[in-house]
Amino acid sequence: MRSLIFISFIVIFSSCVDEIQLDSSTEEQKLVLHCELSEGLGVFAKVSESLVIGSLEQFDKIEDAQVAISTPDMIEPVALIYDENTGDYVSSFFEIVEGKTYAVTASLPDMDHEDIEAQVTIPSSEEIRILDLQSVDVNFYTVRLEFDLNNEMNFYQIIPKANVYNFSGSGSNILYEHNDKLLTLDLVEGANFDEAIHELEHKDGFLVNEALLEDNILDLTFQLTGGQLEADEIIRYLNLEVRTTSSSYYNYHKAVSKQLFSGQNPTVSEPSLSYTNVQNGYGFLGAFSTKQDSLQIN
Amino acid sequence: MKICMIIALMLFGFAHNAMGQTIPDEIRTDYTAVKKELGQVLWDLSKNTGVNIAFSKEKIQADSLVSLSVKNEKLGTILNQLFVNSDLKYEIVGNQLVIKKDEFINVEEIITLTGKVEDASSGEPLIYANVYLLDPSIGTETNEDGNYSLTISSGVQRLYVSYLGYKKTILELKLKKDSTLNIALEPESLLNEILILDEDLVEIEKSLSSSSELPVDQIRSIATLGGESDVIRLAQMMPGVSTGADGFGGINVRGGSADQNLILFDGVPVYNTGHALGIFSIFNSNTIKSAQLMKGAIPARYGGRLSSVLDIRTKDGNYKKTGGEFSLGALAFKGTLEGPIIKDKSSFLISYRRTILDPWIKSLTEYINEFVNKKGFAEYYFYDLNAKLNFKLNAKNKLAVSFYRGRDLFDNNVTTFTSFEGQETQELNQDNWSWGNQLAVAKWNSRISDKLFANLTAYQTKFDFASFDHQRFEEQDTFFQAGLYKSKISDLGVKLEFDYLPNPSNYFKFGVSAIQHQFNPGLINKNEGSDDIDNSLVLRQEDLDERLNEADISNLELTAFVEDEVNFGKYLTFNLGCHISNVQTSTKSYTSYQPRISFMANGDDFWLKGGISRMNQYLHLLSNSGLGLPTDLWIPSTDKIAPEESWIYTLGAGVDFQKGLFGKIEGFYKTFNNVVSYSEGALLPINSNNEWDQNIPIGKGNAFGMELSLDKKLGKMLWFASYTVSFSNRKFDAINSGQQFPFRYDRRHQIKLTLIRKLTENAEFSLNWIYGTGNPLTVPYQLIEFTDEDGVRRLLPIYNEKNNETLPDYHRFDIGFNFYNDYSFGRQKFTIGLFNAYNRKNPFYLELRRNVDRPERFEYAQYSLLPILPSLSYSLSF
Repeated sequence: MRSLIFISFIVIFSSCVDEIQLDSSTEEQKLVLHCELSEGLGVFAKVSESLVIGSLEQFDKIEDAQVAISTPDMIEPVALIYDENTGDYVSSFFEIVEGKTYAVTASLPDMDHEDIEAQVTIPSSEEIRILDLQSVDVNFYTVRLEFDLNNEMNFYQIIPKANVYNFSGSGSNILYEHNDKLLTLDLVEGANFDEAIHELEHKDGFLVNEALLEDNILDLTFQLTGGQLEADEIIRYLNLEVRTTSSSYYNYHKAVSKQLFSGQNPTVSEPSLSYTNVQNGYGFLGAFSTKQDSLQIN
Repeated sequence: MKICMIIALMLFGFAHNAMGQTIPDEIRTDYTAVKKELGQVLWDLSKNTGVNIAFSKEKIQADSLVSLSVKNEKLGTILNQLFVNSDLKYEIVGNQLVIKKDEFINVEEIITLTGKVEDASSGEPLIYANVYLLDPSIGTETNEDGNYSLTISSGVQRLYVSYLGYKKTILELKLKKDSTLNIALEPESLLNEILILDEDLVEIEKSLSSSSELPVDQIRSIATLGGESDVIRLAQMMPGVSTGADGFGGINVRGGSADQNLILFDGVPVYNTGHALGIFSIFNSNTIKSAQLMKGAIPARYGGRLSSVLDIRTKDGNYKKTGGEFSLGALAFKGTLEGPIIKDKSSFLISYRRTILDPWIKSLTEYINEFVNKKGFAEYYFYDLNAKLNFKLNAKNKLAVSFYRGRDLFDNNVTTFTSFEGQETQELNQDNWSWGNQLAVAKWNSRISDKLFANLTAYQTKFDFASFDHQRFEEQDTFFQAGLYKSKISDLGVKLEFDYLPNPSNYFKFGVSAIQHQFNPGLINKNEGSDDIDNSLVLRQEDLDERLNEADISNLELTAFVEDEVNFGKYLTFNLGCHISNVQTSTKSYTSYQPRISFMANGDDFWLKGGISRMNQYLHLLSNSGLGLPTDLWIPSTDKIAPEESWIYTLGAGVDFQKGLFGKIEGFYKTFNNVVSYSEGALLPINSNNEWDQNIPIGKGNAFGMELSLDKKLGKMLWFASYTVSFSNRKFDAINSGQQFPFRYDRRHQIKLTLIRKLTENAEFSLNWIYGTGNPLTVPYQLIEFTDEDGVRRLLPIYNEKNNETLPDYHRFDIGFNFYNDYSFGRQKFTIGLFNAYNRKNPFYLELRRNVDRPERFEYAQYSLLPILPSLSYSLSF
């Protein structure tokens, strides 16, 4: 009898889940482009298709897209060749130069997708100076950064890494020897988080929108999270890789990071809108330039 | 010198039971006379009305010339108009009227009659009972404590006292001086909960605010969920009120959010009104005396919320005899006991309600989990406790002390055992939610003079919510994710309010209050990478509690108000007032001046009313809108979060179609400023160490719409039908790229029908049908893949716009039957009902998932909350 009652409840309440169709009938599959350009690196672009929810399509590899890169002064764009090993469309000889504008196009001639195109200008790498670096506690470090707030309000991705050294001896006879360990640091506390600084869920480091900084001096606190120090190891230098990025790079990675956070924590955040600078498609074409700086820890 | 008149005064006059008798001077007629002899006029009136009018020609100067023109006017009013500048009056003797000299012509002209209106069988004060003269424009109503004050001419006066559910009482009084008169009304001897047969008791609209007097007397007749009568479900049936699925997430009034409703329980604010996340309310219907919902043109005495006021008053307890009610339903057990401590001097009321399904829920979930190779179970229960003591200290002073405590507890602890490549793994899922309210109130009510009443209230109201979720996966390594999320708010308040009635044309209310708000929001997340957690230990809620370090914010809210309801003759009334409030944060002071203006113009069969209200709110509720799961986080206004503000404009008209049928149409327009939301993407932990408030997006909104309703209040079948069309939008710079989007609970169209029909003397049935277009929500239509820095391929939904999709429509049909049996010791009632009778799968929330049979295919799964649910309940009252 007890089982019968329970089964009745299960039947009643399990019927409370149904598949439904939303009004996605007007949605069409689109091409998706993921490409980041930087001086000194080759051109690597991923091309894929979006998937309409409720349809029978799948995420298939696209190996026969026509992908090309060009500049406004080029007569013919340069085709990118599909690399089976990496799944990217590549050109190892095409030169990317800071300050120049590039366009990437992609199409699938035999399909119904619209051709896609995106443009980006390679930003000039900007200087950010580390003014001070302190170790405040085990695994916690404070950094003071200085931005050059010129008329160009830039976007950055800052990737802090800790250079690990082995040490031996004591007192004034300590010997330091650099090892290859590079530990990641996560941002714990910042002077201004009001959308000026955004920590990334899917990449190392954090994004900075210079236009939203209240001051050109930024005090940040980092925590060592990328591994543990051995007894004879110490962090001597903080290494900052500073990427000056295009707005598309900044907006896209910020949107992706927010979406990933929303998906993990649906109850305490709003769904985040997607970003794209790809005409007739999704994804992004972004660019960055890199500078490195390091400072010894006091 | 005041003469204190007790009910024995009724011996000087005579009390009428208005049912079935026509009083001679209330017969209506048309009449016109131009410079006609008084005697002839009296003769004509007698002929027109069939009422014998006796007079002496010499004594009344019957040959004096008079002029008169009236249409459908009462005979008594016509005679008063004829004699206004003379020393004549009329007196009822049997079935005729006798004209004579007014013996009171030389006594004090204006006197004040004051007193209380109570239930004759219990001594319970009757709120908003009507007290008026033959000319109904000269009248008043009792206040929230059952007190009234009426300043009128001396002499012979007929006083009418009426209240729904009670026999109308008519008193003939000879008044020479200020007097005190306490009136006890006899309840209708009803065999069941509702039956209105007297058209006189059915009133055309009388409130200036855009309000609905919730028919609490019908609350136990209406078909309900699980046999539980519920005042919030009753409010949901009013036009302009919408909710999430099945009451989930509170009520939204005219496009406002759930936190914008000031819900008062005996004058004290309540922050969360829902058990089972809103499916049931915390208000035990056995204790409720009255409930009024104000949606616009809100009087100045109310403040602190933007959209509406739900003013719920509880019973005092029977002053005359001990009684109670016990009921057992499919979901809960309820018991109420009330009675005198000292007869007619003091009373008590205590009521307790608790769910009874705990053992079933535990066993059922344990059974289901065993079936699918899991171990563990879920538990859930809620309870309410209401207690009240009342003391009539003397004829002018009364003290009431009341207490409420309610709690919900949900626990779900399940472990899944699996085997992967020969290795045993286990996954632990824990969800522990608890929330509840606690109120303590002390109220002193005093009649300071014949025209001045005062209330002094001191109270504490608390709400807390805690949610702990923990997933732990043990394989070769241990992975876990745990979050603790807490919201606590506590108010300590004192308020002093006055009612002053200097004359029948003015009713002043004014007062001051101070509320100390204390907020403790907290939010913390940990995982296996967290430095301060030992991964080998299974986390408990206490472990996160120690680390939570909630923010501790307090502020002091000061308010003052003044309002006056002014009658300009019989047909026009205004309510003019201002509510002023101030709150201090650490560096800022927010002061708000909130004018309130409303008017009503009414004839005998119609009314027109409107109003403008400015409202302010120093508290904000952060509520997620993605999946539709409410997470109530109360936060205060701070240096960075300014108070919310709104303007509400309303205009409406109504008609009495006679025979108890009323129609109404009302339009509204609202604007909101400084509304808050969770931000898109990352939300920093909320604790005392970070500036969390700078990450709260601030925006604005608007709402507008129209409500149509028809209401039949008379006869064996009562019904109420309404249609609402409304729009509600929000706009935040930091959300949806700064573009305006529909509000989460913007239901475009709503249709509601409630019907109660008496079948026999001992049986009735009721039905509800409710329809609403679906709520907006944000859904992606497409997905893309991308590869992150570690080479992991991840799926990303494409969100183009906020609240871009509408859930399927919500509709539901409920039916219920009530059967009564009366015995010498009391009354029994059996109720059978069917909630969601045609088993509509109303949408609760959507989940994006892979198809079970074809995992490469993605689909939306709609979860529904409440399927068809039969109920059976039994109650015994004595």
